[in-house]
Amino acid sequence: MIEISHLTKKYGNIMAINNISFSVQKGEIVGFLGPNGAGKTTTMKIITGFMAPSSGVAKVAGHDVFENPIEVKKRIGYLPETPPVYSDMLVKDYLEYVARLKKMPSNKITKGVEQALEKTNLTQVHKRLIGNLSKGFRQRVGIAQALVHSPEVLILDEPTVGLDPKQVIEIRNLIKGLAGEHTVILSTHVLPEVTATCKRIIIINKGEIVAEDTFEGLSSRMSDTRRFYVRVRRPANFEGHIKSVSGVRSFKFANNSFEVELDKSDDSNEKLSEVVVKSGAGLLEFRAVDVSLEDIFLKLTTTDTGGVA
Amino acid sequence: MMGALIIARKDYRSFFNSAVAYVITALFIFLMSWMFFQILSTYASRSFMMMMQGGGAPNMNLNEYVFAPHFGNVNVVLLIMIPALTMRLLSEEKKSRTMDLLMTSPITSTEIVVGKILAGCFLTWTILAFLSIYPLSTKLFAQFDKGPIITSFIGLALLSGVYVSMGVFASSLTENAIIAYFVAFVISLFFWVIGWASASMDGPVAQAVFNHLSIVSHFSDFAKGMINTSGIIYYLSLIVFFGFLTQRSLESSRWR
Repeated sequence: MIEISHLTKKYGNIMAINNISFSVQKGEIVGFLGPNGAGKTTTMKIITGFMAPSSGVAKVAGHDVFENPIEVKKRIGYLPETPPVYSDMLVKDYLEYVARLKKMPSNKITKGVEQALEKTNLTQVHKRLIGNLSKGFRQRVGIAQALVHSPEVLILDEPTVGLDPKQVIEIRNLIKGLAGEHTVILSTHVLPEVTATCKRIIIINKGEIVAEDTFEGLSSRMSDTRRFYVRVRRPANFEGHIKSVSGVRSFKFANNSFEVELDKSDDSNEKLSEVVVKSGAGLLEFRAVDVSLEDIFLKLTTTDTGGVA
Repeated sequence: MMGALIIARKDYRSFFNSAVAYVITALFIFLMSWMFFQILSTYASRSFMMMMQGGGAPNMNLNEYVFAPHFGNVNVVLLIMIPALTMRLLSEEKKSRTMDLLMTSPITSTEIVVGKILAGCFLTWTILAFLSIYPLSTKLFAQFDKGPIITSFIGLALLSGVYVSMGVFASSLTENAIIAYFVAFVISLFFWVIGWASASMDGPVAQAVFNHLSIVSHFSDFAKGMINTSGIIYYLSLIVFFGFLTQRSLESSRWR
């Protein structure tokens, strides 16, 4: 659905994105992850036709964004960083205006606006001035605006910013529900958001793609070890027991609990649990520690900086 | 061009959803009524004096002594007022980031520009329509030729289009409405006074060129009751020229 090849954008001498290539299949939800200033927004602005790349090609549904911008823009719903709302308009009037701008057939506009209001839970405020709405509501109007013409492709730049936790969950579920029918690219620096909604993650740093995989793929690629958290009642002689297990790479001790790093094999896993139980130290807790997206993210986005600095 | 109409409709309505259109129309009518009344009473007292002195029927006609200066005044007020109406048309879109919506919608930047110019024109024409109260009310008690009145309105409509086009261009240059106002005012005023150069020019050709460039010299033809095609073409080409500059200015944001 979306094909990006060798995209480069320079702002003066600053390289915002450098030779980025990726593609997104129809119905996929892809998370765009990166620290501030990594080039997420720039890439999105190029895909939506808001901005021209310095070089490279972006294609949406087979149409080149710069050869055929009108065809591309008809198929895209875009939520920029700041929701593009007019504070002097009523929510409903605004959505109707957007639907018209997006060349929605006029007999479908009323229906489309109603559906967008329902999906984003805005029905009770549809007669209010956007200027009088709170930030969270305004953000939802921004999302409704992107959805109103039910576009094939949705580009959402930090969609859940400014929402309260309940709304965040609602919007994430909404985005998840769009999979299959719509193709979604969403950018965020809130890491759990990506794990919660996206099938595939593209991590971008300093204008370059540093990783592109599913979350599971990324976390398994990150390390060949597993971590376990072990808490015991009598930690006195417990250290020796752990050391005796063959697959143990390292461990840390703090607050009566151990964090053990173990070879990635079921054998050593089994052996560790056996030793722990037999040690008589009084097992209280034993669980696997997941490699979090934070770990992956930090590792990927800071390793190369370490060398430079 | 559907996109242009969608934008024009929305902007025209938003003038009336806020206080802008009402405040400006009311104050404009107040000012014009005051000025018109002064011109009319001066005319009345002068023609009365002439009648007393000369004894014969006065051959001062209303078109020349009342309506021509009246429409001249309207023109001056439009010069000051229209930049205020147009200053936010594009600068506000940039400031509130709604330009992102327009630029990622399936419409061309030409349609955006045409839409903005139309919105400004529709609003000024609505306000100008209120000016018909002066000739209509004068008609109740005096005789005058209605031809020059009609051509003056045509001239004002075109000239306000020129001011709007310049204002929209100024608005596209900045996010700051005050800067947009002042730039628009200076551009418009410059096209008034550009004709002054003709007095200091030596050759008759240079004089004619500067005289032609002045937007007021064309307007005086309309005020006299002439529909001058070269004036119409000049106004239309100014509208198109500033529209084109605006389109370039919008398009340039894609490449920065």
